[in-house]
Amino acid sequence: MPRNTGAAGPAIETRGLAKSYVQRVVQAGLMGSIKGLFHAEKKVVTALKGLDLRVERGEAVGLIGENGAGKSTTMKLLTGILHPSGGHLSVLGHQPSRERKLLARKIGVVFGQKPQLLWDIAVRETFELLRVMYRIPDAVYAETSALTAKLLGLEPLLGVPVRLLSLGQRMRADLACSFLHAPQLVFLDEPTIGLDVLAKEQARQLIKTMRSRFGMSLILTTHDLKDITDTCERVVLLDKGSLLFDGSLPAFEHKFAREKRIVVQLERPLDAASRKALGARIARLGGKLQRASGIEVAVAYERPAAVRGLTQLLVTKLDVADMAFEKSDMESIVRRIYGRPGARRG
Amino acid sequence: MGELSLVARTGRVLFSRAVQGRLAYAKYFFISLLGFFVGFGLTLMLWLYVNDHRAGGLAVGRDDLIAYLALALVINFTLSLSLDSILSSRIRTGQVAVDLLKPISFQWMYFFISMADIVIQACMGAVVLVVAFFVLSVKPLRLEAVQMAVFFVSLVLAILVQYGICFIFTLGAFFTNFGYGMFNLRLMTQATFSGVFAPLLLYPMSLRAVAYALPFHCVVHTPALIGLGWVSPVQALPLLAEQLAWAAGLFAAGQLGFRWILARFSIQGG
Repeated sequence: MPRNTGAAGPAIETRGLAKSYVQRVVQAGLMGSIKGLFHAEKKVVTALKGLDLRVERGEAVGLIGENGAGKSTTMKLLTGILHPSGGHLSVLGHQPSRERKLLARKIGVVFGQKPQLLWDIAVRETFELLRVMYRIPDAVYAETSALTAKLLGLEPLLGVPVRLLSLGQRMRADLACSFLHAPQLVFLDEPTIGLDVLAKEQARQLIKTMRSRFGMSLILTTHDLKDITDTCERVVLLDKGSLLFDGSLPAFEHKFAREKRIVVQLERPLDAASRKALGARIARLGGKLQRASGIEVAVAYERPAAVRGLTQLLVTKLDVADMAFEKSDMESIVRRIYGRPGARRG
Repeated sequence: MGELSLVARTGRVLFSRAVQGRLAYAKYFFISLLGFFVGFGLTLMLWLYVNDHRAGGLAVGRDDLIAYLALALVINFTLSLSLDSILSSRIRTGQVAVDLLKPISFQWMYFFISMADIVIQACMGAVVLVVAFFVLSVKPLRLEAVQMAVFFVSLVLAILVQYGICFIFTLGAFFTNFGYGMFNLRLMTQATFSGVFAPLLLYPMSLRAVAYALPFHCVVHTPALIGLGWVSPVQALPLLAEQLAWAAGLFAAGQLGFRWILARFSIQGG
């Protein structure tokens, strides 16, 4: 039975949450640094501009956005290590910055580039420290440590000093640390950074298993959007400290992923003149020649009415060896949102 | 009560993990020890030269001077903490964020970690003290049980004062983002006013007044006076009270300062 789903109230609630800070701007070069000793321009950076967010208990939310969008600041505010400049926030019924230690007992956090493992000694020593520090009941510890070891393949690493582990091994062990006390809410900031494909899959499997077993809420930021499609039901998109989108994954795709693709494998590559002519014909039929390199041609379209004409054109005019229809994946959607500022608001 | 028991249990494990971590770099302690011998040797030679060439000698006798310097330097060596370098580096890189997500007091957490330095250095310091006294033919200290107990209490209080000083100076790294300057400031101030390189009795009046007004003398000079039996247990009581007051004051100031800083400063890094 999941043990975290019975409590009342949302896991997270923010209203008008804002954070700004003062940043020193130093001019470039050695002279700039020397001048900066006496006079540095100061500018106020607004990292978060009045965020309204509600996350229910047991819900999993993917937080996405460009570098500097405010994802990490949001994480730090929600975990209590930063004080907000304005607005209201409540996490598991606590005010994070005022009740940081109390809240820490109920949450698990991974900052992908800031491991909590003790550097000089074996992985299991950190596990043991966390067991005592979080007062983890024996039965819970037995279950979570066994699950994490099994799902992340940690068994052979437990006796190895952390400094001797590879980045991927450290990341896996660090991820395990945040789940040992079966927290009610987990914040994962880039949890799969530095992991290979197999290890990423293991990490996602762990997140899913722990959520289904313990009913944990999850806030996940990542640049690998497969992490989100695999583990979250909801996406929150931040842009320059503001909320750009908040809704389910299907709603996100519906709003931003109207574009689909036809990908064709050719028997032989196209020459430059043929590529140019093909591009013009595709444009007349309402499509766009996205790529024509080597023996692969990709054609993008938005209106379903265009698909018949485009397919006919490709089949009749090209030596087609294979053909596939693709929906845009999260990564290409997000890339497109960031790449076309004018089109951002859909 | 629950919180206290958690701090105590976690502290025990933190301490043992920190000792394990230090032992992983055992060579570091032997190099520190070498540094100690160089510092001790030079200080001793310098003072003995001054004593032997100054008309009428110093206000402290030759044997007493040697005994004081040996004990003061060993206390100083034992109470040297790596807190400054560890914590300021974590503040600079933003790694301190991970510490702030732990369910126990940040200040207590680093206290237990720092105790690892003290215990390991105390073991080495005790050996050094015995060797130094033997090589320099200083008559061994003959303290009575009460004096030993008072000396022990004074050492414990010195640890608390030292931790309080280091913690407050390290907090400066939140302002400067690079703790090296704060570390140097503490090191130089402490070397000057703690009495590690000379009994405060030998200081000019004005400098002595400043030294007594600051907490640094409680770390080295006070326990050294008590340990050498230069003050009786009864005379030591006000000194212990002073140490206790500084320890409590510095701990409270560290706690308040830490809260104030957290509310105003950003944790670096994304």
